[in-house]
Amino acid sequence: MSIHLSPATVGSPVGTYGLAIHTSSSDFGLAISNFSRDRRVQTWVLGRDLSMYLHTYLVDFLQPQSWSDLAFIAVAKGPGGFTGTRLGVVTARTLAQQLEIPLFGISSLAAIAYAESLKGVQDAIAIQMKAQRGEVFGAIYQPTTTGLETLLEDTVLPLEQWQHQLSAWSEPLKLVVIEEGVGSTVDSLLALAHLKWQQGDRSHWADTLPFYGQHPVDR
Amino acid sequence: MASVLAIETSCDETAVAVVNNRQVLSSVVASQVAVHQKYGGIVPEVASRQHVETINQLIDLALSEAGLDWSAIDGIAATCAPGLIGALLVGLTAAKTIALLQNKPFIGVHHLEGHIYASYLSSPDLKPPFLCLLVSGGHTSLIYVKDCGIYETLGQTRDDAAGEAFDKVARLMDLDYPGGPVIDRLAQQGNPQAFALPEGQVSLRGGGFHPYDSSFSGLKTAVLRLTEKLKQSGELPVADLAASFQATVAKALTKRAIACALDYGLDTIAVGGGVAANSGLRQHLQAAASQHNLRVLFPPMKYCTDNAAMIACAAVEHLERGHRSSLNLGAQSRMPISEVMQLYTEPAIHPGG
Repeated sequence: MSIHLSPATVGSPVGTYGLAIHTSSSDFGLAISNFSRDRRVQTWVLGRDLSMYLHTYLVDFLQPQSWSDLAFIAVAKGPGGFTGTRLGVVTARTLAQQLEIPLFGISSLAAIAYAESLKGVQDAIAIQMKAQRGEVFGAIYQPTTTGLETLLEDTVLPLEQWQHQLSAWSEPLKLVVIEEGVGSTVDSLLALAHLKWQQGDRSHWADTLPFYGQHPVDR
Repeated sequence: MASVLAIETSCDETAVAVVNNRQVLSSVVASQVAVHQKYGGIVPEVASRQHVETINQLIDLALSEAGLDWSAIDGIAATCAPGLIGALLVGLTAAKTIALLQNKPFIGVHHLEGHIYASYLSSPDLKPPFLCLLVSGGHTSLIYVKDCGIYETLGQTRDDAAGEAFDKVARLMDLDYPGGPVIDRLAQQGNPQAFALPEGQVSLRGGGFHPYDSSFSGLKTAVLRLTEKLKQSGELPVADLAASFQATVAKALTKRAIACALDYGLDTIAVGGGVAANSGLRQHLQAAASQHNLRVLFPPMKYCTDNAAMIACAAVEHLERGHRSSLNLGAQSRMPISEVMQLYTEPAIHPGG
């Protein structure tokens, strides 16, 4: 089947706002900003009801802005809950497709690390998040003046292996262990996407897919 | 007449279509059969992941093939039940997002109602009441179609769906997935009377058997025992086994459908679902129906298997009757077809109003 993709990105979008959607954990986070004076962030604990309320909360949250005010969208691409992440990614891809604006898929772990860096952490930040089958998601980021540098890409591995990797790390490291509820880092998600936007990145919606880390059958 | 863009992702086909009244303007389907083949069946999480990768490109494609833009679309629909929850949620979420953005009414559609409406696509003059024999990998039902949204299930399988039985028996015979087409092809070369297999009857408490319900687990077990025995004595006579199994299923479905149509005074049987492609079922049902002056409708194959055109066709009629779904509509893995009207909770809007 031949599939034609719409032109990647508009050169000079009308909108000036960025919208971020975080659905990778049990709480649902939304953030919107024009990166000047207007900035709003909200989270809801929706759990399994996310699919039912996502759209009505989204449309209420957007006001007083409208869809045409958006210049780009950011979404948490995982790792995290498979279904929740998928709902956010499908919503974000469809919004970006229909509005013909860029979409930035941002790692949930990177958003957590960026939130930590804003607290003044200067050492490298290791993020550990529980995965299925006794494994953990892990990644290591270095805060920089322009955001984050990835030292270890998001990965999934057995806990022992991850701990061994951390103990063998030669530089100072701050470990952040996350159990649940990272929707509040949606603000960091938006900030990271904005950094990309400022650097001229205009990612196409088709490039953003969930990062699952694990497969239900294949090992 | 209304034009609707519909999305269907209830199982392993990602599909989008645009339908105006009962005319298909576009219908695109991305099958996942090859993806699931190596697992010997559908893996729900894998199906959901595939839907995410494909759905947005198909939306663009369906709209462009229809030659329409959003201003010409009157409503957005999606299958919301029954099906694989994760898979349903992908299509439902995409459809709600478009409805929100394009400011269009949203219509959730029951998957089985969609299969009923597949018959309207090939026979636009068809009118209720009629009987629908729905046979697929997930469903085996006899549904009394009374009106749009008004259905009564008169018979159903008590265990495996007919298509599921084909898949499982194919596996017993070391054949490829999906089993239906492979068994059908082999059955052409075999003797349907080579092996006597049990039809599967559903007992009633007061004695006798249910006239319309079916059961395929006993048949499947009989094939298991037979293949084990045959394997001990040499190579499996797969063509004869396939022909005998297919004939047994076709006879069981035909007997119940004919009895049901006659008992309820319905002169038309519309067949839907992937098993409607089965040549054995077509032959048996056509032959038996003609003996009783009943009309049998088999939609074209592309509308028998899962597709979005049938979902859009059902949505058009609901839309024109003022039925609207809430954007808070959830996905349900199970939902009796008799409860279809519960999907439409938004205030009724008069057509054109």
